[in-house]
Amino acid sequence: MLRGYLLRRMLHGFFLLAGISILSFVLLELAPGDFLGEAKLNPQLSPQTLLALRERYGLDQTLPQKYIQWLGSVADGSFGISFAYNLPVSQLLWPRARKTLQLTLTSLALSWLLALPLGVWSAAGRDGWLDRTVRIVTSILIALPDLVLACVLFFVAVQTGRFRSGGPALPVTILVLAALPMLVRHVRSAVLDVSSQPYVRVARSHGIAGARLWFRWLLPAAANPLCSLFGLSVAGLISSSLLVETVVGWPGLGPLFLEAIAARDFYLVIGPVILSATFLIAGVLVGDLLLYAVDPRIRIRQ
Amino acid sequence: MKQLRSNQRLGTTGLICLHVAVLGAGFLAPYDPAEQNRAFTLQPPTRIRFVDGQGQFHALPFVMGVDGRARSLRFFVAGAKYRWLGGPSSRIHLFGVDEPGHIFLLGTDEFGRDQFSRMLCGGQISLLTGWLAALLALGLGLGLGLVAGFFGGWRDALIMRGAELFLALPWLYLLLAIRAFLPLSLSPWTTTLAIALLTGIIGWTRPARLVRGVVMSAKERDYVYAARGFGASSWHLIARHCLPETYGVLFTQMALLVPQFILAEVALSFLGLGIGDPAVSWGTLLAPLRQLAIVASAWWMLLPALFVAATAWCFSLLDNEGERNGAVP
Amino acid sequence: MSIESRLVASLCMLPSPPEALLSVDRLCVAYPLEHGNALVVRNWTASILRGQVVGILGASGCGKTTAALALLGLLSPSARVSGSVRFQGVELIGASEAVLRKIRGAQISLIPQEPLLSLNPVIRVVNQVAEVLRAHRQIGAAECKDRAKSALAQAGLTAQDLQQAYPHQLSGGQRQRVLIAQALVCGPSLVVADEPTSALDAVSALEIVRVLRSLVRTAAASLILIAHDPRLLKAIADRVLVMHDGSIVEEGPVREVLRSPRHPYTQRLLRSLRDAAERPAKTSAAPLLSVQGLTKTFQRRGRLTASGREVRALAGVDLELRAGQTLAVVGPSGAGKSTLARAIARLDPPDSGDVLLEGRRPSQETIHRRIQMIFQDPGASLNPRFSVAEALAEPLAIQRKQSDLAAMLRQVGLPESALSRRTSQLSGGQKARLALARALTALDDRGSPCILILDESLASLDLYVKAQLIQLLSDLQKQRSLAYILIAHDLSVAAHMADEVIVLSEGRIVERGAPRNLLQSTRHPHFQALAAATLALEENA
Repeated sequence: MLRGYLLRRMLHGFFLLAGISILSFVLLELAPGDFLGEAKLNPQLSPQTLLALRERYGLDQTLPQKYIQWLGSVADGSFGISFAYNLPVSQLLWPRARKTLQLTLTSLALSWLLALPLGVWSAAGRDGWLDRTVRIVTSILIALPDLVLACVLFFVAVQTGRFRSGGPALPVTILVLAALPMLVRHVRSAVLDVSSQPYVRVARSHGIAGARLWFRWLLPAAANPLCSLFGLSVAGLISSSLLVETVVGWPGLGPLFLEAIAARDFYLVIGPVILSATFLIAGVLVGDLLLYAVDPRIRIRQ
Repeated sequence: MKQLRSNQRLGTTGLICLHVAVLGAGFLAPYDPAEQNRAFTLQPPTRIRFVDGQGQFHALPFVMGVDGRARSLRFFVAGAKYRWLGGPSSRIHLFGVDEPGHIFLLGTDEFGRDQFSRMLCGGQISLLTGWLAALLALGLGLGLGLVAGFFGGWRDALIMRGAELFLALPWLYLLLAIRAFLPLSLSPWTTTLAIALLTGIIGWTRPARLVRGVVMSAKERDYVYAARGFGASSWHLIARHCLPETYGVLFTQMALLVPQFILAEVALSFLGLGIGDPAVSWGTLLAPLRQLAIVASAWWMLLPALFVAATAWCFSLLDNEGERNGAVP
Repeated sequence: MSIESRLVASLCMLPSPPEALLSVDRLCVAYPLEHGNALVVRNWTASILRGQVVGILGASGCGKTTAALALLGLLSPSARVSGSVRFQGVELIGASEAVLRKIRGAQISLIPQEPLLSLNPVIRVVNQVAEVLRAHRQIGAAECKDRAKSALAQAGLTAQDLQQAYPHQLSGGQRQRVLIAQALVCGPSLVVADEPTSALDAVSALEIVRVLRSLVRTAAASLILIAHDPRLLKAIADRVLVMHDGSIVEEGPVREVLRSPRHPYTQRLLRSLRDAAERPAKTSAAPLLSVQGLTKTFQRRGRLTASGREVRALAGVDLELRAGQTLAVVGPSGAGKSTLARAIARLDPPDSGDVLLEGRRPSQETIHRRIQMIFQDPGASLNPRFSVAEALAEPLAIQRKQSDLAAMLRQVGLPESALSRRTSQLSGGQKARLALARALTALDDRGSPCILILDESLASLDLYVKAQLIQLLSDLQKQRSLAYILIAHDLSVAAHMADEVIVLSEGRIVERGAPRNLLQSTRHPHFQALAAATLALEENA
């Protein structure tokens, strides 16, 4: 059952990626201004290189052919060529992708690991001092836009002399502070929703209470919406990381993407788009697998 | 106003003040936002004093000019020309000081432009983009959500597949990717409209999903079946039973989407892909913060960011669900 | 103690004798409202002895559950509780959480209503029972699980795969057994069972009640059984307390109270069960409704897999109905009764077969005017945002008719003042009447006989209201020569109202006939069990 489900979802993911790539190629045709015209090519390229490029990527052929040539480049791992750098796109992408993953995975893990206990404690001590503090702080942080948060923290770090260029501490802090409040709120709200269910009162009537009640009894029942939230939190993190990388100067996918757009470097624009979609789809898939593991109602329905 | 809770009242008041200020930007701002003063680049905010060097108290606040002489703040002065909402033009500004004094309430940028004036005028573009995009997204979302939720079948499948495509990309990457295919420099108004259109079109998915969910559960209610039993048409069922269920969702989404789309415009302009010179928006005001040198030396350049934060905060106060919002699409 | 001395002790209002397990003295529960308080439980005074089974009888909403929850300190913080409840000498009202926590589940345990909602959906049932043990005893996990398994087995759930199952995989009766196991696993001295059978059909209800009685007897514990159906109490209780509007209006040994009640409310409650509508002789006219060979198959899609499962809901059903007649359709859950109803009302069209009205295939519009359906939960069939007037006027607007709304309300016994109220503000019985009025509005009033389908519509009402509605329905039937199709799992309602009964099982009709005949001499196994249970509950009624 599980294998079939997994295969179907991965197939689904591939179709999505294919759809996105096709759409991008189509938009290129509609775009005013030249993306693959020779005028945009690096004037330092020699005529032989130009010829080779034209052949390799079908630059003077029709759109479907260009797409198929590109698919070929995906198959052999180069993902097209960057006209600005005169290098295969993959060579530029992978190191940057690693840096971005470094940030996003750390922030993802940290924010969830902090959000779960904070949310449960906040719900358990409803209207107590912890709950009130958590609610006030999350309200303020949620309202703060990611960009502003990044700028403010960057500012503080620079002014207090704590900023270490190239260090991950600042960007991870920004990302966690950006993602944490929403997660805490949702965990709290999911747990509170469950706590008003009849079976919780029944559990209390049997004398089950305290940490056992909240973590062993309530949290698993509240896991359903949280697993869907997981995929969304990945999406938010990827977008936020683009902004944070730009502000802090972290050499991740974001700055590369922006450079490529400004330089109208077509294949280098497509690369990060597909890559970010892959990360997101993978994140949602993990969330769904978690849901499958945690909620028996989903499992049994097969 | 009475039915609103206290935080909603605070938020609404804040937003009204904000919008009024931005609408009257030309009047409230002492300088033209594009006016450059090469002699006064990167100036910190002008200090407004009440007590002069001799220790004398002045009722009217004043500023110290570069020549050491005090100049009083004056109200309803004549200054640069501007237009009210693109209509009638005027030269009267709310306040100002005589030349050669200057009143830079938020300091100046690297071209000597008054940040305070730029912030007020920049709000026009940012807010407009946000509202337009939100209305577009809500309209699209409502229509598509109703069709998908009520009729189901192939319509639902088609619409949901489409939504998936949009949702498969993180929103900023999606926005930038589509932006990438438009010409890099357009006229300010075209850019504004284009960004509003783009953001609105890619933003339909969340409202559509929520509306679809509401409609799908509403349509399974027994009272809808009962109405079907009386011979009701689909239109009657949608209008009388499903649509009223969506009002709550639409309102909450509105309060969420407008600030989100304002911030999308700010992000785009910050990254250099939105509004460009000579027009100004909040994003372009924040763009200099990408340079380490400016962040290290000119602290006042951060102030517009706090203003943006305050705007977002006012919108968040409208959220009447408070801590119980589990709005996961 | 002999029966006589027990009687004397329980009827006496003096301080209870020392062997009393639980003694309640002037218990009051009030909820603060905008103006004043709502008194839900008034001056409750009672005492329960060891080994006794005490029943609490009353209509829904009279405060029975609230009183039970107050004993364990489980009410919401806004409730104001006063009075005294002494359990084995310990005062429960106002006791600290720590004290109450030790008592709950271990010495006094509660068997809640609504089995599906009372079990945690993501934990296996055997673990749910084990958790109760772990909360109270310092025993290792493995031993807890073993004890949990034996508790489940004692409650009747012996199969290994059932014990390892999740709640939604079990039937209503099985879930109820899990709740019983949870309540008894720690060996409490007092068990409070709150309407343990209201969600079950007659067969399971009797079984559950018997299991409960034997388990309690084995454990030498006391049992408080809360119910609104006196037949259950007669089966197992020693004493009964009758509650009305928060106070105890009558108490005594069960047979005495049920046979010759003294309080007027008790008399009314019991009489409503015995009233049977008169069935006038039917002339054999041409059938009004004729159903032939109805079939319907559903495709059940798994959520995560593409393969579907075919479910045959109806496999060739024939029936006939005459004007002024009532046809009852009974059968186990999943037999296809609701599908049949919806197929006849054309809300879910059948795959094949004919539904003929007066010999002809009716058009869509004719169906809307001649056949109407009233749903299982009448409250859910009314849009809570509508006012009563809007709900009543909806079919008129759709069918472009005019009618006098006030007269329609009067016909079903609702006052004209109800027109301006929101439907959500009505009580359960009032909602049922409104749904009835609305259906009648949609029906043709030009004299052609019409059909009303009642899909278990009376099941969610309590006994008292049910009896009134049954009377109303039979009055209307006589006035307007309506024909009813009544879908029920409560055989006594079917027996009282129907001229003919059809037994449906797995989409087919397996038996049909007049109700009394069927009760006495049925051959279908499920129906036999159902009939036997009904007769057992009704003996001496």
